[in-house]
Amino acid sequence: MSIDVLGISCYYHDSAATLVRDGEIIAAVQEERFTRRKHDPGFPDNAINYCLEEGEIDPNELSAVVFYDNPLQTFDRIVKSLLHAAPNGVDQWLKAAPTWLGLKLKVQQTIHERLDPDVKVLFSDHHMSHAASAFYPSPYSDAAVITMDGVGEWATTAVGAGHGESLEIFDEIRFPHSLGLLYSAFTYYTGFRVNSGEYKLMGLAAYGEPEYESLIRDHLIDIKDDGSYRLNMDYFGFLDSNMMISQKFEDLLGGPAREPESRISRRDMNLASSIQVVLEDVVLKLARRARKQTGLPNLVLAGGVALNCVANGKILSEGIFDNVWIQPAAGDAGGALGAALVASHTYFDVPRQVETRGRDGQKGSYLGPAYSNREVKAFLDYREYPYSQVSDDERAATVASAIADGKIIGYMVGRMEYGPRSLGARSILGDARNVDTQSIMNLKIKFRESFRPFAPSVLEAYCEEYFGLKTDSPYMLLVAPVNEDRWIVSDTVIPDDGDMLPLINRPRSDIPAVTHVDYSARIQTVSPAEKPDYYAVIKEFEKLTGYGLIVNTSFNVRGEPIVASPEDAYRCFMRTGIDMLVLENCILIKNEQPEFPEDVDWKDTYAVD
Amino acid sequence: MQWTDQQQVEFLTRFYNEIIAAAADLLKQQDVEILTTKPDPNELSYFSQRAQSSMKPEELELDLEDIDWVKNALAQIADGPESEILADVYGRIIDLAARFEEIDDAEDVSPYIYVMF
Repeated sequence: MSIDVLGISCYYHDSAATLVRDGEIIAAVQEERFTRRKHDPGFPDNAINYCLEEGEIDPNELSAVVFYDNPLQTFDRIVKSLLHAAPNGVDQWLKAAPTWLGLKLKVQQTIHERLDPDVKVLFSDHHMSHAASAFYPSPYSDAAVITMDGVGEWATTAVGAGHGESLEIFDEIRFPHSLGLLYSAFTYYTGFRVNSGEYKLMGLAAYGEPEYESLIRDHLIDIKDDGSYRLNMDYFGFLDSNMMISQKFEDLLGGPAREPESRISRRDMNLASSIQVVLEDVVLKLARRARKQTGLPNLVLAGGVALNCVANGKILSEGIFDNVWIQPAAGDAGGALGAALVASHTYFDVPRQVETRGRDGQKGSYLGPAYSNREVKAFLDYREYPYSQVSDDERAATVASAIADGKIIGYMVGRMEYGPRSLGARSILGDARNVDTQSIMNLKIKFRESFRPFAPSVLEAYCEEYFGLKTDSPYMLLVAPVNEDRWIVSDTVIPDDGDMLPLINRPRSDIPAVTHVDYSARIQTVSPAEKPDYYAVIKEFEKLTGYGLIVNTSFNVRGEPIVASPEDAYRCFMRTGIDMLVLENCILIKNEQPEFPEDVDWKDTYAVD
Repeated sequence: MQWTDQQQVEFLTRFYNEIIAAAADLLKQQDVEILTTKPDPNELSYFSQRAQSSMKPEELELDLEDIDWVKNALAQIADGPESEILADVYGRIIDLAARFEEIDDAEDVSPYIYVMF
């Protein structure tokens, strides 16, 4: 009889569910993909239903349901924070009490009510869940483990090691001192949304100079040689208000936070650069210490800070570890997977199977729902949307040819990705060689800020031809430089008025659409083993053009969760400047489609992220 | 219990003042530092060692549906000289849970503050 463990994360950010059977990941998906509510923190009913369906199992057959966090430890932190802040914490109490007492503390009851009254409910530990999500699916028998996030229970950063089935966390940094919260404070201060805009801050950092670095080090954070750190809470608001920063923070850095959606100034770029430099310093010090402490050549990472792929790339380029593996669902969604794995290996003693063929156990992170051709055709026929049906080979050739002609493609084939990155199952594709691709994709497809770079999907075997990266990066979590012989060197100075556009639109290499202002790229390597259909598209493109890479960005518009179903994909296709839509083996051309009238302006549907 | 938003705010505000703020005053009188909020140049490292480095099977088992079990578990978490005060506050807050109807859904993720409470 198999051991089937359902992992759940919810009530904070990005709720999700995962099904693990005898230690193998069967299914994993975020709730937002079904509810179309970005970062949906609600109980993941839809995600659970999908996981059970994929595993062909009923709730009463589950060995256990595991929640990713220990609510009692979190409760302890919240009450102590309130006691610390008193008498100034009444607003936080009024906000926290109803949801804590009416929802979060009742999670076990909710699981029993919604799944099965007799199912065993277990609880993991937040950072242990992150650590497990990084270690168990990794391709290593032994590895050092670092987890970093905003906060989970009391910990904000944890360091440990995994050996076979055993996983330990040795030590941690505790709330309120948090690298994630420090970065989020700057996310807020530079006018982006906390909890989602952190990667924009990372992208913006490349445009600036770290002129605030010493102010940050002198006043906001004290960093020890071992990478441990402590914040000066005088500058932060999150302990005694519903704001990330205090007035003192604004006074120190010379003014109020940037208004969301207002023009980004050179100062904002410099702030972004400064906090990125500080974050990288901490991450590198933590990595050096973990290497020394464990003596292991492999490192695994998880927690929201591990989505900072620039810092991840630095760990590799500094040669601190021989190998680095990062959980693609590094944020709270990944906690569902980690919780299920903790219970599988710790509670049920399931032996761990390490992949021995050089791959990992994450299955390319293609762990979400897929739609068969029959389902796609039924949808298209019912709606009378014109399409043509092609073979797998024809699909690859057609898509590659369209990309080479400068067309933008919405591509939905196979199981959906688990984690925030699109990896060729729910992607928008374009030509990396085309100097206009970045601005077309940003402004006519994604409707997002023009400074944000796009990522390349490159055939695994061709990676070193383009980038200074000597390892696989299947999850788009490593940044590395474009090879210097491909650079088109130009002036990178931003004018005094802070107008970035002339700089953004200047080609910086022969693959301008994926070359960031600092000549870096956020790379996804594609192998035929994990995603043969996507590999075939890029391979065909390479045959046509000599370039073994294309642009890959998530299939959504700004503020929208990544598309999940054919209906989501068609809607996004019709609302944007996408030229061609691929739904499994069905191909749709924009100018052949009927009118797509909508009662409301869809741009009002999603809060900009 | 059914109550209006205003009744709930008034009730929770009173609870905050009478229980939480009062307990905080007591802790302050005893010079208890609940959270460290400043760097310390004399410290060599800010790492805290974990009491238990790995999870034991029994640690995964909680019984949140049993209020008495929850109170007892929280009383054990409350440590140090302030444990009595903390355990009392925890117990009183947990008793409130019975007065709060189950909420169906979590609020949207805030754009202004990291969701940590």
